Amino acid sequence: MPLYPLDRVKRRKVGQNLYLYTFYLPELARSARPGQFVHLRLFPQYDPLLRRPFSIHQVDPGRGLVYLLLRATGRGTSLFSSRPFRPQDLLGPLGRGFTLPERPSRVAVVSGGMGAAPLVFLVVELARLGHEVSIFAGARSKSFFPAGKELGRYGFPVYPATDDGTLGFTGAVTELFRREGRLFRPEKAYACGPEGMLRAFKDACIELNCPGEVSLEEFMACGVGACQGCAVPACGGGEYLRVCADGPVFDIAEVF
Amino acid sequence: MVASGTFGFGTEYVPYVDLKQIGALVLKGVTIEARPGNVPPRLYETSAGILNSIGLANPGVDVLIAEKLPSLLAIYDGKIIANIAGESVEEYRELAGRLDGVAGVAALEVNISCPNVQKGGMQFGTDPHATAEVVQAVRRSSKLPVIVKLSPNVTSIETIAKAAAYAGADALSLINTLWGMAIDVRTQKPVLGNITGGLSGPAVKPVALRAVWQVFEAVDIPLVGMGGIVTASDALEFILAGATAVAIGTGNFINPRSAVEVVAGIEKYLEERGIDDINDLVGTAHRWRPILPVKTC
Repeated sequence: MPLYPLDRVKRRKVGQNLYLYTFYLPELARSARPGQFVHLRLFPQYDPLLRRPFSIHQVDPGRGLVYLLLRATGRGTSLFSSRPFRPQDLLGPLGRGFTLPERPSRVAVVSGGMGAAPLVFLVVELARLGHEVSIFAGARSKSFFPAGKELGRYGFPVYPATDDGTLGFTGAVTELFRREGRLFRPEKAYACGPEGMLRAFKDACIELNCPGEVSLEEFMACGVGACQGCAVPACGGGEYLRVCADGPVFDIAEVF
Repeated sequence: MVASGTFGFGTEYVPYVDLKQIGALVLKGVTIEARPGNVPPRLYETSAGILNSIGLANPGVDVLIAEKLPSLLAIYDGKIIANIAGESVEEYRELAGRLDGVAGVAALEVNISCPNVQKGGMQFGTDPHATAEVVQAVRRSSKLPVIVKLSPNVTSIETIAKAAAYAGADALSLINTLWGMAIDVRTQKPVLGNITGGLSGPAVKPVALRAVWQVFEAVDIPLVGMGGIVTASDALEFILAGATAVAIGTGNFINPRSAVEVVAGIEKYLEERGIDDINDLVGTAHRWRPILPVKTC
């Protein structure tokens, strides 16, 4: 049953408000796919009430470990990261993950800020399957580049972009992707990051005539597709898609 | 049982909880036509609670009958309660008629209390005459037991409860969500896409308990108590207040096994006190009345 109590958890600070959590969950480490997430109950008490969804950052099936990369931004994550922690249990793996190309291809991975979290897992899988990957990683500044080094550990080139120009290209990572993409000609592209960045990513993919997938996020209550709380409008209007169950990964044609 | 809207159509939670241990599943409310639901954001966490403005997103009664019910019946043989919501008395009548005799439906829960729709829902449940009209229409269109779900957003819930009871309700379920909202100080706008929403979760338990207490004294028909129940102890408060059965809604989000653990907890409580029949507990808290005024110094 994929509702796992949590007895062995470690936390390590890896940056400003940035924490890496390591869970010993062998079954989850084996069954998780890139792009999926877990719904974590952070506290035993009722305030903060809801679980928090976190994308699966990395897994080590051999050692039975699952890693989550968390930024302490809101009430729940800040509280969770600032004191002795007792996470209760988690649901997972949840959601539809990334669809990888069947045969080795030229793949672009485009990351915006904390969007890097699920993309590391994706990059590891892409490496394992022999794809030719170019990684475009964007952040506000060199001083806050979540998982920047991690993305570069798998033998693929990482092209950084920062808003303030302290590292790499000055400007939006999607702009860098668009320019380099004209030369690189990716056959598939994946992105995760803030909504504005994903919309720009969709436009870039269309221009590059490259199929793309994005990973979205929304406030969630149930996390399993029952409550309809995390719905986002489908492309073309009229309908809604559930980020937790129909996503979080969507084809760019389905959303925005 | 599990509360409408929190458990979808039953199949979503299968990997996490053994459905067989839940007495009844109350399904997501259905309307005549499919509804996409409200503009997001539809959820927001509050202190010990959540605001939701889902807006009765549902595939419509026809899909419920043709697809959702068969899928659930294939894996669950407990009681299934269909929740219906309409924008007019006529729609409630039609929904009741369509579900009458449908395999697997053990009862109807009439939603006259959803705060997230423009027409219907809470509009009926805040008016005793409208309540009576809807309940009467449903009563006449169906042989199924009729449970009417009450809104707490009223001046006198006993008045609404009596109207529903006199119009033929077999039972009442209470409470639906409290009408509330939140504002984002960064953007200076309401958080929810629909501006207002319904508050649920532990924060509302005292209000729900008070409602059950009052309605218990006002009507004779059985009550399903809900509102912030997560543990067996919470459930027992409702039973002592007058509920014959309880439902868990938001609690499912905190712990998908809430319903199962509540049942186990209640059994333990009965065993510890040597009580054979849980019905002996229903409304027991009402028996306490001071014979003499309590003196204070």
